[in-house]
Amino acid sequence: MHLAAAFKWFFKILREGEPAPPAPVFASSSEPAIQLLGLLQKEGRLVDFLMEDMSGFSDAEIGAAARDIHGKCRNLLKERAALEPVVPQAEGAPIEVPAGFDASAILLSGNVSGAGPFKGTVNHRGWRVARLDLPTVPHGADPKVAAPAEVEVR
Amino acid sequence: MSAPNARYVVGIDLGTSNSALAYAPMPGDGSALELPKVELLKVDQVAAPGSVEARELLPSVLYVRGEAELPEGALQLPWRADPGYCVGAFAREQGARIASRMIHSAKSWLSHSGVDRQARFLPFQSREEDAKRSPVEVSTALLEHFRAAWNHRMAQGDASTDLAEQDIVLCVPASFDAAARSLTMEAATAAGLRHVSLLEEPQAAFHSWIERAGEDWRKRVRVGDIVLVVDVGGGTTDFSLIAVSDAGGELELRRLAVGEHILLGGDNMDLALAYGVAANLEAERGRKLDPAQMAALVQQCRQGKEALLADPSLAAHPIAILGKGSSVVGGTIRTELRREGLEQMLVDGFFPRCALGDRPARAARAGFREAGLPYASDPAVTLHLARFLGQQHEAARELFPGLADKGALLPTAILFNGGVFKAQPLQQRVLEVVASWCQGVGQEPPRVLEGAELDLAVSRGAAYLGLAKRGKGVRIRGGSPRAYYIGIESAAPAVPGMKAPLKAMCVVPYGMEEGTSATIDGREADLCVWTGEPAAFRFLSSTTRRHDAPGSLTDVDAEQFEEHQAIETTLPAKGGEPRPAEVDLRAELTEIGVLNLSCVERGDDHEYRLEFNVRHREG
Repeated sequence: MHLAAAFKWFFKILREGEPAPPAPVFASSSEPAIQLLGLLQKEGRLVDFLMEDMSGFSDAEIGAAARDIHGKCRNLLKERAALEPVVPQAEGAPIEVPAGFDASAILLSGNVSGAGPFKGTVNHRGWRVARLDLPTVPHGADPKVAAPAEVEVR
Repeated sequence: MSAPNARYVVGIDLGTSNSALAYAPMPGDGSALELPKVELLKVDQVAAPGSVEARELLPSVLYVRGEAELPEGALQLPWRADPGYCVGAFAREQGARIASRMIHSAKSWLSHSGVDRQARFLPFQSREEDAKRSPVEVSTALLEHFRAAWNHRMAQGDASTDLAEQDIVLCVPASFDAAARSLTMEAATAAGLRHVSLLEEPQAAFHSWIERAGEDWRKRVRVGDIVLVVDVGGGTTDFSLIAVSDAGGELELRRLAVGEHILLGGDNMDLALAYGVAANLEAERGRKLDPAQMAALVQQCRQGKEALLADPSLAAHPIAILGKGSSVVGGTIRTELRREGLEQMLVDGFFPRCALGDRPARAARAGFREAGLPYASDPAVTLHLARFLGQQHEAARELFPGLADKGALLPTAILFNGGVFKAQPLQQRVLEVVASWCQGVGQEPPRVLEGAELDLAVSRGAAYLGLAKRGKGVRIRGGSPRAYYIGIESAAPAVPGMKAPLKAMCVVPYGMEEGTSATIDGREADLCVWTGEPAAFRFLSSTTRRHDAPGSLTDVDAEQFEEHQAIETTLPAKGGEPRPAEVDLRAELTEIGVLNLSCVERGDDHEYRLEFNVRHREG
């Protein structure tokens, strides 16, 4: 610190008291995709479910677990994200796709020729994530961890 | 204590399980007749390590971190660095993993007169000395959190909007005694809240109902109505009776009676269901659940309870407890919550049909219980209700002198409060039971006051009362819900093996109005204390004796009186030798609902405060 700055701070503190401590900073994950996976795991055990070998289980066994996992993951998604269809028309309804449409948002198939506009039928309305709120994370948390190991201390 | 510069009226529900804060802008002078809208504060709180979220409920739980189990800064909030503890959602979640560092139900301890409520003994029976807090400190931490969260969201540096400057109505159970009310006030003061008054929760629920009904409420109650408020919270059950009368053409509301403190609530019901399911699993399949699975089971039982009670066509609710470790499908335990079991457990277990003359089973009373909270020994809410209404028959005689003694005061209307009553069958059962009592004495069955908000009524109602005090709504008149007494041991010749009989001298009459005081002449009972040393008086109260005048002496019978921790004061010796000083007593019930008792030496103006929560001394 320069002497001048030191003097400036000395008198500032003398005048105004201790400077307020800096406001806490909330960090975002550098790996948001892993974080989302982690949230689905924490809330609904989705990663465990997908990684488990299903071959030995009956449909009833899988169904019972899936109902619980589905409900919890769905709640999480509803809470954290806003999912909306890409096109407003119902599935099976006719649609006109204008020329110059966004090819990343609408996938064409069938008799496609020329630059459009195209007349067709909606097979799938698509999903757009209008909003995704991911929680902040502790400083220095390992961003690659989707679920921490659990150890019960004796 | 009204805040001169308040910009908001604020209601705070400091619940046993969850807390909430509601607020409304202060109505301007001569503003429109319309009442301002009451809103709930979204309370920023730690929701996960390093992450803050805003929710309407603040779980009334405090977690004190240890040395290693959380990352650095995990409990920080936007307004402060990690102080080593947190309250709210994450405190509850983390406390489920490490129970020895979590404090819950501090409010129940606050009303437990068998312990020193300023001593650091919570978490109860935990060996983590660094985590220890007193019940008052936990309440303070919750209120401090509300203040900081409010200031962060609402004030943003504007000093006049600081929660400390607002007009605050803080709710307490109607059954809280003078010491618990005074300690609640102490917590508010410690949190820096300066303009606080107390309100009983069932009254707040009634105010909330009035707010929701709007002007229509005047048509929905009648002069002569006796409204029973049945408030079953997460951890406590609270009863109050409110009378509707006519005062110069306007409806007037008066709280007639409050019940005793009953530690029994919705959490008990979910636990009872979960233990039932867990016991079956162990008996039938030999499966034992670990604590995390048990917590998941309680959660699923709560959902199952709500689903089954909401839809009578369902026979069962599936329950799947996912396996431990990473095998979810393989380890999943499947079972179900069946309707018969649920109804038997909840409706018949917690709300059994019973006669008006029936009484709850009582555990043998052995003075103060030092170990743990005095949970209700009988889980039947309806039996506690029968006892409460039966205790009011003196009030019934007074209100309806012409009528035959029915042995109880029976309501003409019922207002339900508490999330438990979202289950209609529980409301119906209470109604059915009370109707059967009414029928037995030839009275019309009560009706339900519809349109109550069951979950967040208390904080909203408290904010409404804040408006009412500014002349913008209706108030319920209350007065002291208990009569208070000091115990006087009669001067009888000592007989070996016999205790001197105890008499009770009334110091606060039942119904004493807020903002009034009474002086009790000490001459009749020969009240005398030694100067220079602590003088203690045995302290008793009654929720049922309604006619004792200040200074009157009565015999103590255990049915009608409850003994509290002794009250204490010290008169200074003023340099001289200790001497006996003749004293009178003074009782003041303040506008904000706090009782102050003091000793006054006869012929002297000095008042010496009698303290409720005396620290336990060694030896």
